[in-house]
Amino acid sequence: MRTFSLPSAPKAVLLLLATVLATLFPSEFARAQVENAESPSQRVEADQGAARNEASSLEEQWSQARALAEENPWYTTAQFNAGLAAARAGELGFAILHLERARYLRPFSGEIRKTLSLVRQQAQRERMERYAGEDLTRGEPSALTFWRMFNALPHRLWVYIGGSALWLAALLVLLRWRMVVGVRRDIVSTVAGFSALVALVALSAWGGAISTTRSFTPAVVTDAEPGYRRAPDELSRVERDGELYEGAVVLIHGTSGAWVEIEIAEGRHVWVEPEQLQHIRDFPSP
Amino acid sequence: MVGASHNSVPTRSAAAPAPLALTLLALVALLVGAGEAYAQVATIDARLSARTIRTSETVTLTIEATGDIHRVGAPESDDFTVIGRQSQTSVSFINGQMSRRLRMDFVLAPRRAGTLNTGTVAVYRNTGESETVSGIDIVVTPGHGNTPAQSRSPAAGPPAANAGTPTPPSPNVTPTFPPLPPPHSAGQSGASAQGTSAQAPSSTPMYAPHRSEGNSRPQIPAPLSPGMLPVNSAEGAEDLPIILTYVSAEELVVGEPFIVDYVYLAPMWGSGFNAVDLSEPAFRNAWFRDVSQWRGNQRRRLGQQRINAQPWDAQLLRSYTVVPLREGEFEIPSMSVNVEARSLAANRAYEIESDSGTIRVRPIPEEGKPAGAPNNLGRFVIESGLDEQEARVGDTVEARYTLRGFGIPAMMSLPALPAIDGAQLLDPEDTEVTEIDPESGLPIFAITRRFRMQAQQEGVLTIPAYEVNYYDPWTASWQSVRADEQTVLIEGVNTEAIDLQSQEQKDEGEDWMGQLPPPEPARSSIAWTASLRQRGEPWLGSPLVWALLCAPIVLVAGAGIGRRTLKKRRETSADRARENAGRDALRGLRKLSYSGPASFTALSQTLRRFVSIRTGEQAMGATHAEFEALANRNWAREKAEPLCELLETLEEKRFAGASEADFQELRQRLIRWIEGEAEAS
Repeated sequence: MRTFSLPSAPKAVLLLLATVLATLFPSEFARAQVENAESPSQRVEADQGAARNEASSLEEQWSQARALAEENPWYTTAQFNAGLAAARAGELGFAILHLERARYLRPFSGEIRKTLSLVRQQAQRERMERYAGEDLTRGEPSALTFWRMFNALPHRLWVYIGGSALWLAALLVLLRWRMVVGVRRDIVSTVAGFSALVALVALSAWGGAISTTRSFTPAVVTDAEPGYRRAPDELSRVERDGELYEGAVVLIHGTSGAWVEIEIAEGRHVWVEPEQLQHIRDFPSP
Repeated sequence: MVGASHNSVPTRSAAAPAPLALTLLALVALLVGAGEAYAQVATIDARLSARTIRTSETVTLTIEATGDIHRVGAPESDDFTVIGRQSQTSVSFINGQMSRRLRMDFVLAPRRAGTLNTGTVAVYRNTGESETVSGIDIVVTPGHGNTPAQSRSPAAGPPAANAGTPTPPSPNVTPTFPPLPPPHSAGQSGASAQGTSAQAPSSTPMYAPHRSEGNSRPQIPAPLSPGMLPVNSAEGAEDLPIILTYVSAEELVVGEPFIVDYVYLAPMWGSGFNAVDLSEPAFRNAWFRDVSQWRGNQRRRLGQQRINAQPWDAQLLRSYTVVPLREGEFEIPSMSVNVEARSLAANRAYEIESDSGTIRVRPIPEEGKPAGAPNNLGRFVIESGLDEQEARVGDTVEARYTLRGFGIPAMMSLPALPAIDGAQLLDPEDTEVTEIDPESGLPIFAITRRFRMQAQQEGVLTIPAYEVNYYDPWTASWQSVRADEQTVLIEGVNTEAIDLQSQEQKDEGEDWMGQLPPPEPARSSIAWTASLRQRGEPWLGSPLVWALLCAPIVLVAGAGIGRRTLKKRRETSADRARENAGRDALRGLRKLSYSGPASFTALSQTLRRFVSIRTGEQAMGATHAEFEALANRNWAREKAEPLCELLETLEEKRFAGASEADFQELRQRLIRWIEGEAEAS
């Protein structure tokens, strides 16, 4: 039986590729960290804000946390603390807004997800007290599910995962061709196939993220008593519905004058005043 | 006042059926009845517009029923009063079967605070059967709405009812009121009344105090009595029924209750008329309630009336108590009823409608109004009471003030208690009930405000007098009722007393806010995922990224193509060599000449090379046995045996030595064998 051994030329090529992969992605992260490191003034301000929070009322804490979050929109801690302060002040719509932003910025945080779930449950309880006959919400707009799914990770992270998996699959395929039939070759084949699948999923998610980011604009209803109209017209009657409540996440589809067309559960399109909403992805351009 | 005449419009007519036609109709009805029996599967849906309301607000109960539904009865609940109703009916034919969809909206006003039930609702089928829909629980909290007009405005929704069916008896016949304060006894502070109002014994019904004062109950004329003022006239009435509208007052102030009677007059000569359906009026910008059953109890059938010297049968169609909530011209809406005229020749249907009219509503006069007094309106008395006469520091004492009388709670605004020395006032709680006075038909109400206070120090706690000013529209003057000051003796300290207010605030947020995590400390950098997003999204990648993504695909594809090409080239080369093996071997053998024993070695090498190329197996260096096996695998026995014999002879001559003649002979034998093999292949 022949034993496996790589010739010197392929060995050199594989070593070169491995070196490129090992240095490229970490360097991307390191560059991002250096570029976006918090300035000392921001840190001091955040510390002062936290200190002020200990001594002020709930409303004052909410006001200060909101100001900090608006000044440092990319600062996940500021968004999270603003969500907490809003929840304690009874502003459930703003609480969900800032926690959604925090989750958008830091998707792997279990604490953010847990807190957001808690505040959402409370928003649902208040909604069920306000609107009878609708025990559970009929959900969110269906398109919002895709937006959440594809934007669960940053676009670059999808590419990094997909690229790494693709390279791994390619190298394993090359390796497999050099191997004789055996258990090792089967293992290598399986790992290569799995890597190719991961690459396909990740790169598809990247494409979906690009598409949904361009197409959909999610927003949170922050008005305590939101009302909608069936037409973008002052003369149209203001109506209220259990699916449009404080803290509901909706999709913005367009504007007409001073009115915003949104999609709520079950694909219903209604018109609201823009003051009733806050965009989740309302971050300054890089 | 606007005079109006009746409006009659024939809507449909039908010829008298002949006996044969009757027989056919009976057969058709039998068939249709069988189909309807199949289609009698009905669905009933009940829902509420809100699950939590205040006592000053209303809630809409919606009943939707499909199938062979005849009508929906009113909710039977002691907790709510139906102050408005609206119906929508749609009929559809599916596969030749009729389906009726009936939607009834009942506007319900709660009578008290607490967890109430809307009561059962009966849904009647055309077959006479009925189904019962269970009531829905709703939480009613004490308190008022934002503005009086808005808080009761849902009651102004257009109601509708079926005049062909009797109105189900309302559960409001027996008034239900909140627990009354105990009668004032020695040691308790009492209440005194100024002006025309007086204190009422607490054990008597809400309207009893006015009865005891003789004319303090507002006098409302009976239907069709001279005191009721007509809105429209019977002028021009001929031989069809008419509806006349009467009101109990010609001019009002905002919030003043009055009565509107709709009287149905049918001629007592000619055809007989049967009212089958009516559309009830909608009073805009007003609180209103159907009081037909109370005024009808007095004289539901009003007897014979003479109009234009002709006898007319009068009947009280509907009667409403109405409270206008805005000043200006108040519209008395029209009311219509569908009637069928029966005769031997044919049945005819008509829609009878009364014309609307207006009455003037003035603002509440400012003359005589105490400074700073709210625009309360009505006629009532006040009662007061304490839950404890003695208490300890830290205990909570409750002082109650109950206003009873004529009017509606929406027109009442109770003042707050001033600051009390030695006690901390907590948030007050209100409870209110609205009923209908069965004698006058006017609305009566009871509002109870509970002031809770926590004793802060020992001594006598004095609760100051409580005075409420109001405008009495029936005497056209400002009045006031006053409850005297009350005292509570505070002795000792309740060591287990807790700060109720702070505890309540704590409890409110304890449920879910306690589960919230503490704020995060400031971090030295933003999250790495946030930094990835911060660099811009949507991100389409860079040329380097695209190159890196394409490279592995290109690498694998290139390697795969290379492997395949190499393999093909090898296979092609082997095929070509196999085809040319015979030709090359023959060319070599013919060129070969004798040069000693080595010539036999050359012959053997040529033979072995030919066999190797031809068979694709290794024949160079194979032993004789291996060669023999190889030959037997690739050729038939008659070919393999000569080949093996030839090779054996060659090997013998090669090592044993032989002449040139032997060489030539063997060469010729070898050439012949290869030529034969080439020809065979």
